Amino acid sequence: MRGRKKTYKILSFALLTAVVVTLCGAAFLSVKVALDTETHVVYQHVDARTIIDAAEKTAGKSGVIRKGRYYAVSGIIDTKNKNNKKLTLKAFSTTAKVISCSASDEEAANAISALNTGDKVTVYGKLDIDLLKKISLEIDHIEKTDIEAVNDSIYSMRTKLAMDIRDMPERELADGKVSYRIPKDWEAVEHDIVDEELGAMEGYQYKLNEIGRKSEYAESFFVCYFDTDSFVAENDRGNKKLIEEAILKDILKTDELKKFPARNVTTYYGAKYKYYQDTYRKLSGDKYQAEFVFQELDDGGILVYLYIYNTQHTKESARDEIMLTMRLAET
Amino acid sequence: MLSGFDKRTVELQNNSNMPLIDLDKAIDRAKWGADGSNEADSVASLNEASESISANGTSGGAESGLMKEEKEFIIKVRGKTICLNGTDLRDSEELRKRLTAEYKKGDTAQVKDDYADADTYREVLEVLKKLAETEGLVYSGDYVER
Repeated sequence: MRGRKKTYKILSFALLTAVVVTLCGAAFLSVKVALDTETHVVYQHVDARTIIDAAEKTAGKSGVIRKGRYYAVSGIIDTKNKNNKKLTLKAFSTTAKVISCSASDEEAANAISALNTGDKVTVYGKLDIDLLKKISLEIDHIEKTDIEAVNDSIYSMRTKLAMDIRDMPERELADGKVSYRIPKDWEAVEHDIVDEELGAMEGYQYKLNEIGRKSEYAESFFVCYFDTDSFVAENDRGNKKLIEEAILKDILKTDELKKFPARNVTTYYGAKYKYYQDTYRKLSGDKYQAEFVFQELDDGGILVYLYIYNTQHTKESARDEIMLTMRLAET
Repeated sequence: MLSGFDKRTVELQNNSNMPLIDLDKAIDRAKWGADGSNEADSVASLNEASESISANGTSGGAESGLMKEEKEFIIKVRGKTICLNGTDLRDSEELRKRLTAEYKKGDTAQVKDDYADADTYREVLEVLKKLAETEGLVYSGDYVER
């Protein structure tokens, strides 16, 4: 009897611990960030055939098409079910396989209800390819299209902001260890941090508020490479968290940091990000929000993104362009 | 769990006299006209100032804009909120007080209509008109007759 009581106690304690850990985890994940890769998704445009071929060849484990990533897939509706929750998409050219698409919400289901089999459509969603190479797409958005040829160099934020990466200038940091692409109009507001004596870290500042004169308040995005070998003594190079805290203190000119990391994310494109958020007050009293994103690289260096904006006055945020730039960075 | 007790820090080896990123400098330069890259805009704003409303008929706008110590007040009206150089104010009375206290001869003001409430916008214009009459403030903006 006593033994059973003890077992119950242990089980209760374990259950309570699990609940607390889960709640803490949820709270940890619930920190809202401006540069949220889960809510501001970048879709690569492809046609259904590219997806079907890639599923056969690599099962979405390598190459351009990867399971877990987001795509805007163009094809023809082959079948759809009566409740408008599911449809199959076939390629413009004949293939044996189809892509199974399911609506993730009512909005998508409503959009499907207005479509018919045989319609040419573009389906935006997250790709999955299972062990049997069955391809499925969870529909975020679906729209009619009249195109039949899709160039996979085009990326978009659903219906907003479509860019062809061939038109996006490429930049390199750390002798090519990091490369990324920027929207064409960022070139005019780009500043080299070291050359223009804006700081000691290799990288660029993009003065986004100047594009189209959106705001007189600074909205800037920085892409930098922190060379651990140059800035950190050999004995200290192992602890990345302490190094990142040192970077934050140096840039924000403070000894007191808030919770770091505010959020840890492994993105759908495989990058691992650590976030930090704080308020930056200038001596003049102007208040800015600073959001850092750290990405630790295999060579020991750290890719540092910094987004500075004014919460009250950043009316037309350039966030979509930033998300695209981060999505296309290669390390 | 143990990390909370780890008070160790890493000191960066930075031989330059600059921080990794000088945010003050970067933000200052990100404001319009703060560096040479916005020369065209600055010139345009000077031209606007010279053509702007001055109730006492002075033409000090263009002249004043060339002097570095003179400043421009940026007044943005968003809805019913009045914002002066990035700081939200309670009402147009506070705007009047702040401008009266801070205005120096040659300073200019620019009003921006950011989906402004019409009454609030009129109140702001009234304040500026008064200061133009009494102090010679030169102001300009994207206002329209309402």
